Amino acid sequence: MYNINMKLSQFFSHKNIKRIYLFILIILCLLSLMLFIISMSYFTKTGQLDFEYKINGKHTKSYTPIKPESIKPWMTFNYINVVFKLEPTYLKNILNINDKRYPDIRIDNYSRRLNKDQTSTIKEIEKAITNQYQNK
Amino acid sequence: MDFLAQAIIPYVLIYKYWAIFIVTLLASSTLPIPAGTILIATSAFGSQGYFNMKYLLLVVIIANIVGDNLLYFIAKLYGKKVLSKIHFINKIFRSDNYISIEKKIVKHPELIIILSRFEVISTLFVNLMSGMSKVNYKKFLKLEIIGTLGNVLFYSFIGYSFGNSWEAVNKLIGDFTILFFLSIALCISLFGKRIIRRINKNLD
Repeated sequence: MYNINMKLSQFFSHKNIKRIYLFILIILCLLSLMLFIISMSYFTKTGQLDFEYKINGKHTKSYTPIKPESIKPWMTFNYINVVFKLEPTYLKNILNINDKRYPDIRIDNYSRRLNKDQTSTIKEIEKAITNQYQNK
Repeated sequence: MDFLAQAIIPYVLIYKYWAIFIVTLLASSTLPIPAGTILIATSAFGSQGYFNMKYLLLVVIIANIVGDNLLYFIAKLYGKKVLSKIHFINKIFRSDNYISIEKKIVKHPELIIILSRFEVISTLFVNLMSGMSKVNYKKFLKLEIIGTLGNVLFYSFIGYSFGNSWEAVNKLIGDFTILFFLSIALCISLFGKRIIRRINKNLD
């Protein structure tokens, strides 16, 4: 028992602790580097990562416009109108929105006020945008 | 997207430049708000045509400079007086380590002030330390402006360039930040003694 205690205390001496700490740091560094590479390749594969740049207002690379499926509950109607280049009253008329705060209202707040499911509101908006694009 | 950013971004969409100004001011003066994430998001919105990039950059730069100066002056005037009333912090103020760190910051604040602008908690900490240790104001202002310009241009360039992919990029930057700080910790633990010896030599 005494020998084990001695060996343990020798193992956890100042020098060894420093080595263990360094070893853990190196492992963590490698792990986060791996995480970085994995997420980068995942985002590139799924098309979520797309570098685009503009010169004099024109896109110089194959530009992928924002898709209606990427609408999120935190977005406001005003933002959606601007991003999808819709007429300011288009969504208001199609969805029969009577809220005074339109277009500066979040989708989730709007759904909550009407006791509606926010996913169904988002689907309605997506449908309205897709129809508008098809009509164009 | 992290919880705080998700809670703040809708307000940025509604109140636009005012919200950006207040959020950036708070991030640089009092609260650890993820200002980098918000700048990436707003620059992406700028690339989509929701914000005017020129106004956005102007507002963010002014808010950052005002916030940094505000905390610097508050810390310079009341920092030590107020914080030394807390027994635990007063002990730290009197310790040899704190005094030597203070000396080093006063003599060589360049790298610390510029690099700290890229991370919100370090920005707050360095502003507070610079004010309390009474770093020369002209020096602080000059370095703080250089750091702010670098930080704002870096994040806004990323947000603007990646546009619709800003959420994915933000996640990558989060991973990269972890990697960056781990590498710094690794370098310090490997070469820390040498660096401290060199700084001490320079100070002598």
